[in-house]
Amino acid sequence: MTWLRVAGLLCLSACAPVGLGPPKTLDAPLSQRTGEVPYGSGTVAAIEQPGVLVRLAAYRRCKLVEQTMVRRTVTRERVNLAPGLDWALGATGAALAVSGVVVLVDSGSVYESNIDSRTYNPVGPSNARVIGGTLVAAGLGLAAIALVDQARSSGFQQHTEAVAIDGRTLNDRVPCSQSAIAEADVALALGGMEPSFVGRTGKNGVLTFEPDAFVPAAMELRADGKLTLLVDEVPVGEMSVAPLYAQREARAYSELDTKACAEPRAVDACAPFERFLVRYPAGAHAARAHETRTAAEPRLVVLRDQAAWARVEPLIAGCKTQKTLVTLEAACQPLREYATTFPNGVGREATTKALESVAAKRLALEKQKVRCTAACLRTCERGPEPVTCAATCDTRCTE
Amino acid sequence: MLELRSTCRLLLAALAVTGCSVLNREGPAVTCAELRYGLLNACEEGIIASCLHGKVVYTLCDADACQESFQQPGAYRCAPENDVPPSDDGQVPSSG
Repeated sequence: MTWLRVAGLLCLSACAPVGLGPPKTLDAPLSQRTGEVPYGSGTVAAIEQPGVLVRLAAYRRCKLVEQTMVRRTVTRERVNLAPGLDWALGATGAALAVSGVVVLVDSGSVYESNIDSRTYNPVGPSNARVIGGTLVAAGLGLAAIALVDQARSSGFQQHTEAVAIDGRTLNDRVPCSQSAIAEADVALALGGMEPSFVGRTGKNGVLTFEPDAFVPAAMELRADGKLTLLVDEVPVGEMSVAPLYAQREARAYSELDTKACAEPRAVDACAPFERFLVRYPAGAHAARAHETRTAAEPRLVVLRDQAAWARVEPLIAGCKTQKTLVTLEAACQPLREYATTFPNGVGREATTKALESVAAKRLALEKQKVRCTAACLRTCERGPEPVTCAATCDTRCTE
Repeated sequence: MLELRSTCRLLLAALAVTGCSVLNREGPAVTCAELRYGLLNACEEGIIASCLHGKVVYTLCDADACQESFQQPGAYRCAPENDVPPSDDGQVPSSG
């Protein structure tokens, strides 16, 4: 019976569950502004390049939108969720109260409960009044519950707040200023090579580094090139290669031996300058390096002539002693190349003489070959396989 | 359970409409002379009127006792096993 008591006590305060109706919203515009809104799960980086350093700040991705600030008033009316219960309570209460009143009024006509009297009523007037009063009290109590429920379910709940309503998107990839990504892995993508790990962002989401330490020295760079930065293996932006290019170009130029090229003593004295110009053609020092290299060219030509002549001179005797057209051509070819490359070289006269001396010999060998070939073809015509035979004549007459 | 509640409501309604006075009972309005000073008694709505020491006295019985089959006019009893309520012997009390 405990639950009955509890239910009774609850019903004293009120019975029907009271809820809230559907919200009614009223917006009053306040102002216009632009604001960040978290967008997707991506990462956005702010990349700065002060000098040769790169400063990367990693943030969550936001979109920049036009926002209208409004004062939003939400009103929800209280609703009796079980009105039938209260109607039943109210009706029963009214019926009981009316009955109680009738019993009270009627109690004046009730005889005394006196067994010795000519008139008798088992209830008696006083008990009838008690019954009537009880009925009235019970009826009023039930009606009161319904009235309390009615009071509880009247009125509304209202709250007001400032709300930003998103409008047109201005940029769907901006860093969320209040959402830096700490401890994120930062790496440089190096074309076809494995990305180079640079470091981790700090608590403020920022990492500053010098690319020179992370881009392999052997990697070819372009002055207008860019390198992709990765945060947690996701591309977030690009850094310009120009500062790194300039840094490395200046360092490479400072390592060049200008004097060795300007006053060359070997054929390859200016090779470092040539490699420098190939690697950094658009560098700040390219013009100066080119100038140095060009100034050294006449002297380098002399050095190359001397070196070539040193290789060709011992071959002159061999050129002159050849007895077949094939070996003559092969042995004298270096002399012809030297004469062509260095028409005014130190070995010009000796080369010319040697080539003139073998010219008559070469002419005689060519005439002999013509005669030999003609005789061979005639012989073949008379043979059993003239075509196959004729094909071998050139080889036979050259050897 | 539902039936019991309905019945209770019906009873309450009936009680409310009529009130407790519906249970009122009135015995016979007679005098000792009419009861021949105790020789007879009278019964109405379960109340027996008899004459004792020159005064009408009333005995309360069940509401329908007056219509029971064992009753004999002038000698009403509450129940067959009961005695007739005491009364005088029919002598007119002396005035002096």
